[in-house]
Amino acid sequence: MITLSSLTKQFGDATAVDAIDLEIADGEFFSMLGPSGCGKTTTLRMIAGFEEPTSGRIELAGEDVTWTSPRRRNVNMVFQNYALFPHMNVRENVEFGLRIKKLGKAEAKERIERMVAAVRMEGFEDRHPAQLSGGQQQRVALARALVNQPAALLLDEPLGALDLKLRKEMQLELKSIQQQTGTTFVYVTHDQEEALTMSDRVAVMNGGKVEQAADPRTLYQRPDSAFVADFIGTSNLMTIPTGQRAGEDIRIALPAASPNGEVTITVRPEKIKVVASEPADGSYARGTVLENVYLGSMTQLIVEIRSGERLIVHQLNDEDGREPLAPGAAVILAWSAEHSYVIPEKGPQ
Amino acid sequence: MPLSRRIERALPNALGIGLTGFVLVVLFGPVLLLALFSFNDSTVISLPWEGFTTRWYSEALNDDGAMSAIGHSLVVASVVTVASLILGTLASWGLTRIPFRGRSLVAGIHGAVLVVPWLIIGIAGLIFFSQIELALSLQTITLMHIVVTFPLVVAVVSAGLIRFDPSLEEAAIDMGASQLQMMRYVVLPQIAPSLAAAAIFAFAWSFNNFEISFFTGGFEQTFPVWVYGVLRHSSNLPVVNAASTIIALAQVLLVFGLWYGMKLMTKRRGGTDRDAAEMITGAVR
Ligand SMILES: Nc1ncnc2c1ncn2[C@@H]1O[C@H](COP(=O)(O)OP(=O)(O)O)[C@@H](O)[C@H]1O
Ligand SMILES: [Mg+2]
Repeated sequence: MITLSSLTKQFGDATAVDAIDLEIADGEFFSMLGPSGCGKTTTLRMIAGFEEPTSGRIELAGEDVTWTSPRRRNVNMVFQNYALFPHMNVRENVEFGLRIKKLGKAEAKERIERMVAAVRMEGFEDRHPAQLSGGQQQRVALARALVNQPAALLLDEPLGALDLKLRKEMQLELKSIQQQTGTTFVYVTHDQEEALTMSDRVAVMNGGKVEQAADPRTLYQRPDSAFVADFIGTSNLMTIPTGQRAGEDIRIALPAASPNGEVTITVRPEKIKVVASEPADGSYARGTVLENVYLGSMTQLIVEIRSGERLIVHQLNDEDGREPLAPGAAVILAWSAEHSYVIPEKGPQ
Repeated sequence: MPLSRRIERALPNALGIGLTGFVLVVLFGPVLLLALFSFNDSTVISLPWEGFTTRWYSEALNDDGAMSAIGHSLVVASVVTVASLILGTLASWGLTRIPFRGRSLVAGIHGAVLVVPWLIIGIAGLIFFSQIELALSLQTITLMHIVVTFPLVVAVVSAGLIRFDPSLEEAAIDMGASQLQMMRYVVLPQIAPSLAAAAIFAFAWSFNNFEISFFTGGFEQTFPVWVYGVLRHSSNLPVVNAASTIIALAQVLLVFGLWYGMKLMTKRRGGTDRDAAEMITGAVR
């Protein structure tokens, strides 16, 4: 288990990581997700030991390692540029950690073979990194770290340098290696889709803080903040003045037990339906189609409602021969009360 | 392909080859001419060609003055190379990896030494040694050579270290290596080309240096100083010429051997000829 307690890192006056609290369970695939500059790399490097925290604590398996040298922490890092040793071949690269630990020849050989097989690099043992493709280098980097049997593997945007197709393949492969070895993965990415598809849990970070740490489903369905709602998937954020917003062109129904006063709600685009007439209950809004974008399995509509806000609507393309709604068409959008998710008020900061 | 187009295509190539040839002739022509005349059976270095002889070579090889001067130069250059390589590499590490106040100032001073004329450094050394009343000898020459080759090594090795990806160092530490193990297994093998280039330069600078050796040397002469001394009698010219040809050839062979070795090394690591060139020129830049 990795425990971070009020972990803070300042570079001069700038706070890169701001009092983070996190618990990462053994065997978990845990991602840190957030826009560039939000402090993901700094957090990861503090866990690895390459950055010293300004304040706070880091515990690995219950042991305080805040001031332990990186070479004595039982975690390994996979660097974004792989950082393979160019003068060593694949076998020597993978062997490096074991050679330093002076592991017995026979056991080292067996572990190396097993690891090279796990990342499907058999037959490439004598190649040097310069003779490997990006994806292969990535796999060698993975093997080189995992062969040490670390308590946790730290990965900093490991797929960032690969093209889209290879990235998709490697996502699946990483996930399967993680499940095979049962190693805890702490995975840094700015790609929300990547984080959602691979992780058991995701910490969404913003401005050095963790906005929410939860499983992907919870993040999508019950975001703790407008930032999370916006960063995970597509969402329609609306500020509703008091209780309900009711008029001729719009009616917003909120779920039961919603707070009074001004609230911010988010409605996911696939929950909004285009209907023929105003529904008897739930929410609706009249508007005009601004744009329709064909996305293969669905069509994305951008609709400007009468109050001036723009809503994104996703329509499944499951009916043959349905004409897309042309820009300028007048539509009525409807969604049920429970799909207006009220974003919790933030406590005093 | 029409003829005009073919000429248009071939022209840049032909021009390039022509220009390279011209530069080579201007640069190396005189040297090759001297080497040629070292086989001429005449005491003057000019035509007519009096016949082929290896007399000057056997004279040079039997000349005690020449041999002991070459011996002195070899010893001085070797000591200078080893000392400046060790000191320079340590200094480069400090300059590129350890942040401290005034780092750029220190780096600047190193650069400055490189552009001070050797003549001035030689005279400064002479004044310094006479002030502290240290007798001039091969040791004082060695000391003053290190003053010049040290910043040279720092420049070359720092360039190598700056190009070196620091995440490789972190990767080594991450896998449990100590600072020393990281240096030994990761950093040194990678900056080996820079070290080799620095060593060659330091050696050549020291071996070929005249000004500093002239002013800070004592009774024992280095090869360039010996050459300067005996050249005052023109009858010695062919012997000097023969000795210089041997020295020049040895240095050329040394550099080519190194170049070839590095090419082999990058090939083994899966690199190309271009990588090898990049490593060597990069080490010098
Ligand atoms: N060594 C450093 N010195 C100064 N500022 C830094 C350093 N490393 C990171 N930062 C700053 O800290 C913030 C967080 O950086 P980082 O952790 O790299 O973000 P991320 O990985 O999420 O993109 C950024 O504003 C960055 O500029
Ligand atoms: Mg980063």
